Parts: sequence; structure tokens; C-alpha cells
Amino acid sequence: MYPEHIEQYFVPKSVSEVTTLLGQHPDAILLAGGQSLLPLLKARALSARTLVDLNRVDGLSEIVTDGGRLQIGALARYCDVLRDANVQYRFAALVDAISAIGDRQVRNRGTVVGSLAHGDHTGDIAPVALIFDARLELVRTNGERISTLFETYADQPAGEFIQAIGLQNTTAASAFIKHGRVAQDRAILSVAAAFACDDQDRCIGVRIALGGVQPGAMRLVEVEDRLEAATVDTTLTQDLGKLAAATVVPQDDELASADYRTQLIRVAVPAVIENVVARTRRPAQ
Amino acid sequence: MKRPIEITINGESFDATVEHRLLLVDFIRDVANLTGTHVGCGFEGRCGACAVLVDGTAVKSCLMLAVQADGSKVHTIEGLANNDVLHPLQQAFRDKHGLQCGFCTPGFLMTLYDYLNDPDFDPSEEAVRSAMSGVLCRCTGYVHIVEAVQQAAQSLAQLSAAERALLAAG
Repeated sequence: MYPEHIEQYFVPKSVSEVTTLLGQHPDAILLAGGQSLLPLLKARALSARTLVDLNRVDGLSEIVTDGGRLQIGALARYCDVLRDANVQYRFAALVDAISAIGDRQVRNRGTVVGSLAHGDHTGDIAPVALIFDARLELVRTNGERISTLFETYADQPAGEFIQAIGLQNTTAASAFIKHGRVAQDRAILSVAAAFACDDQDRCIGVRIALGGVQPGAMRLVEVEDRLEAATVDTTLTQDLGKLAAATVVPQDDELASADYRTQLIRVAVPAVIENVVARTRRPAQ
Repeated sequence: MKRPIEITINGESFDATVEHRLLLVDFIRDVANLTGTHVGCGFEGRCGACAVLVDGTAVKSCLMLAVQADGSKVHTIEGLANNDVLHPLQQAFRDKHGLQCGFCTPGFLMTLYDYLNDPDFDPSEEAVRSAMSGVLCRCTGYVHIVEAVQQAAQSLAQLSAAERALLAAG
């Protein structure tokens, strides 16, 4: 199977060339890793009259750490983000999530930003982005640069190009769990959590986000509020699982029923919290 | 809708004017006539039989457009052996019976070649199975493939750095 005709294919070398092209071709589709896009083009679920290939744009693949801030460029590949020592140390949930994406070949080409831009509700990066207060670094067709919170960012308007994503964390431990039907599958449900524990084992700065159950990932605000300043024990985590299941209405779709997703929420929320607690108890590196 | 591109495959340069939508796997098979790289699935890119090296890393050539590989160095299964001398990984597949019909085998060999060269290579069964999860085999049940990788790792470890460099693709 192969795509429909692609009339125009551009290979810009700079961000300004990208924005110029997007201004001239409002219907252009951007190509980064292509691991989500190519299957859609081949299935002809999507047609690309104009394709803008980002893979040769200078300076887009950087992974930069500055204190508690991590900036991942649009073309930073999953495999390179995984290998980054600061990512492994401070953003363990991101390591968990990327490790569960696709396979080795997919991770050699696919990109973190591409997953967010693609916007599939089963995407594994979105819940991780939410727990780390992610910001999108956007460039508009007029060259204007804006930074916007990922959580409140609606569908990408035509012509805005995500140049990078910034994640923030200093003290929190984190973890991510994904459930699919089979190995390497898309998520039926994914959950990311981050918090630190104080010297009395109380949870601080709790963030928990769910993916795969509805269009768009979501923070579990009631669960966060319950867990904040509380100490974790089995009774509490089980209660939090039930609370999450009560506050979320998952969708029914071809991957899973709403009932099954509800059951997974009951199981996965306690599990991810326990994973984070286990990581907070590790000796500092 | 077309553009001229040049791709080096196994050290040989191939020039052609191709449609933008031409997949890299179809360039390799139909333009370069290297049919050792296989197409085993529809649009999803799940089967991995098309795996090749592009600029040194394993990718699924059905999930790339040929135009994206303009100016790149590609290595396919045809380039793995050195004339008639099998690469230790190929020899290990032979010794350990790591194939039956052979359709998926080029995908496994190129992907596992990439994994063997990874600084984080881990010969444990769990790590090998995870590394090869992007290639599907309907014949073997994977057990002998894992054993072949472990044998190849041992063979490669016994070579000198110079000997290993000679085996390197690209």
C-alpha cells in the first residue's frame, strides 16, 4: 500500500523557511519521524498534497537541560531522548513512556514532539507532558515565537509550528504505565504520575494524568487533591483508583469498552502511584 | 510530483527521478533491484521485514519515503556478508536454525545487526526479545533467533577491534 500523489514536497533548511512555506501552503502537512504519518498516508486515511519535510532543518534536534527544565526539539528522536542522562534522572516517566512506544526501529525515527503534534488520543507522550507542566514553543507564519502551556493548547491552528517542547521538574519522582491489548500496541489506557515525598513521607506536588481513555489526555485533579500532603498506604491507593474511576467517563471504541477502561483505571492508578513511591525511596544519585 | 534523488545502497550509488510518494522499500526493491528487503504487511508498518539501515540506524523502509533518503547511505541484507563470508550474525542464524521460510529474516538481521552495535547491547533473553520486537516471525517462535543473537554476540566479542570495524556497514 502506498500514499496518494504528493504534489509538492519541500525540504526546508531553517525554521524561517518552514514558516514561510506554512504561510504559502496553509494545507501543508509536516513530516518529522513519520512513524504515525506514513501509515495514515499509506492507508489513504490522509492525503498530503503538500508535504514539508522537517528532517533537514538546522537546530531542531537538540535536547537541552537547564536546571529543572528540559527542552526537546521537534526533531529529537525517541532513541536520543531515551539515552539522555538528565532525562533518565529527572524525567523517569518520560523514559517509561518512550520505552513503551512502538519498537526499536520506530524509536530510531519517531519524535516526542511529533507524537504531541499528531494528537492521537492513544498517544503516550501527552499524559507525561501534563505531569511535567509542558510548554510548547511555537513559531507562527509571521515568525512570531510564543510559549504556551500544553494543557490548555487547543487544536493546532494552521501555520503554527511546534519547534520544541519544554518540561519542568526538579524534585519529583515519576512513573508511567501503559495498557494495550498486545505488546507494542497503542494504549487502551495510560497513566503518568509525579510527586516528591517529604521527610514524613507526605506527597508533595502531586500530578497524575490519564491518556487513551478520551480524546485528549487529562489531569486527575480530584485524585491529585486527595493525595497531596497525604502519606501513601494500600488503602489510600485503592481509594484513589476508585475515585479516578468515578470521576472519568472513558470512551467505548474499537480498542476497548468503556467498562474495561474503567476497570483498568481502578488498577493502573494505584499501580503508578506505588511505582512513584518506590522511586522516591531510591538513594539520591 | 517527482524529483531526482540519489541513494547509496551497500556502497553503490543509485540515481533516479521518483515520485514523492515512492516508499523507500519500493525504491530499494524496484529501482535498485535489491529484493532481499521484503514487504510483509499493509499500511501499518508492523511486520518489520522491510528493516534496513539508513545512515547507520535500523529503520522500517516502508515507513520512509525514498525522497527522504536522498543523499543517505542505506545498507540492506545484500550488503551484510563480505563476498562469500557470512557475517557472524548470519552464521549464527545458520548454526542455531534461526529461520524457516526466511521471509522475515532480512528484517531481523538488519535490526539485530543494529542492536549488536548498540553501546547498550544486553545479551539477556529479555533485552534481545525487546530489541527485536519490531520484526514479526510466523514460523520460528523466536527462540532460535534469540539464541542466534547470543551466539553472534559471543563471536563478535572474540574479534579484535580492527576485525569488528571491517564488518561494520557504513
